[in-house]
Amino acid sequence: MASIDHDDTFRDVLARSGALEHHEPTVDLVASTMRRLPKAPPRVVARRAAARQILRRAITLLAVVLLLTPTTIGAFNVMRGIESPMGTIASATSQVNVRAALLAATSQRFDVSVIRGLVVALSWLVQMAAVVLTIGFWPRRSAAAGMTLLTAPLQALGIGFLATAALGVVAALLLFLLTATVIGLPVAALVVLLAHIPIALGIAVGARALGLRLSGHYPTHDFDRNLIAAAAALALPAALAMLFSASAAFLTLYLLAMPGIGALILSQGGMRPLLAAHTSHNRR
Amino acid sequence: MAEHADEDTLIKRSIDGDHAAFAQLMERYAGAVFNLAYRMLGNAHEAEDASQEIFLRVYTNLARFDQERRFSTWLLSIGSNYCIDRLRRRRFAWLTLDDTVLTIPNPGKGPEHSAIEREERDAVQKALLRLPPAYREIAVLRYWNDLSYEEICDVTGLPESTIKTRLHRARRMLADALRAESVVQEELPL
Repeated sequence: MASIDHDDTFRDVLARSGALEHHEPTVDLVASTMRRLPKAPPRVVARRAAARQILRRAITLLAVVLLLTPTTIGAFNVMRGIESPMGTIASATSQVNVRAALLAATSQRFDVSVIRGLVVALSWLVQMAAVVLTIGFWPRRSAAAGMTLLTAPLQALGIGFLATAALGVVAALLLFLLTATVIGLPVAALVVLLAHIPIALGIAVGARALGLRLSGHYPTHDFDRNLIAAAAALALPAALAMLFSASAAFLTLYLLAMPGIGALILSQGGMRPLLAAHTSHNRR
Repeated sequence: MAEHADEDTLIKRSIDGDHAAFAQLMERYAGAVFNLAYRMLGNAHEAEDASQEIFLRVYTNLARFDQERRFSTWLLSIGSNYCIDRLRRRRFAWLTLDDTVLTIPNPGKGPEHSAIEREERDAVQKALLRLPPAYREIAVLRYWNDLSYEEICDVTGLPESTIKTRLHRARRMLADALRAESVVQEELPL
């Protein structure tokens, strides 16, 4: 009985504060759910959902097997001291030989400076395309992460540095094991590609932040000339570094991506941005 | 009684794939489902998305609904399980490919509410969000969805003694938080 009284007292306190008032959704929930409702009756939908779940589990299992099998074999090869396929390839054709052969083949037709210029332009365009595609795919999340970068730049840089270093260590370890076996080579190529996704995202967030700073108002989810200018400016250093070497270009890319990666982590992938007082004021 | 029979008819028609019947069922429970999601997740935008997902799950599982049970408690059990699941997955939410930003501030609530009242209400919501999800679920079902202990047992599948213990702890935590926010001054009987 006492428990029921306490229950009622508590309910009264909540009611007095207005906390028990019902909220109204801002959209018509029935209409929006109806638009997403499958055409088929529930039984069929349930069967399809079960099939999709089985498929998802099978794909996850396959991905784990694809990564674990060559990694384990690679680790085994390393322990037994078997020469890796990459080592064999490297000893057969050293990097210097490849470069000399390429130069010899191309310089017969083009001037070396023209080739360098083309490489710089191409890498600049590829980076620009990656940034524009990323921002086009995630306009809101990239803007939110960009605002986080403007709100806490030093924190983002620190976190980005640690995350990039951790990513580098993990990727290097995986690649070392995967390239120790022939079947690991395609998976290693995939790992290299996947490891560069956060880098592309980081550069895109950096471009977003620079674009927002240039435009001076928050938030803007659309492409404007400031954003294009920011993307072009951020893509330039790594492209110019290609004049020296590919590794210098990649190093520049990683350095430029760090603050953006940090902002992505801080804002949970742009879903929960950190906003400074002035930005949240401007958002209204 | 007539309403119950009517609901049974709507459920049967929905199981046969009648979308209009399912829309009527949704009309009846949209408010309850949205408010459950809002109190559990603490964000109106996310609650709208969650409510749609809950209704899609209800539709998918409708053929398995045991008509001996009350539809409302079955629906709320799907809703509260979904919200707890969503809270658990929140730390990995950033892995989704969706272009969603969850913390867009809501516009002002309108002139009819005083600033103090809004502040107090926000304080209750903040206090509620500080509760562990398992306690929050019971408190929301009891005070916001107005369910009896028996109905909460049906929704959660927990024994009544556990419900009472969790509710008592939830009340104590909420009362402490509300005193800290100066929403209540007096000692509440718990």
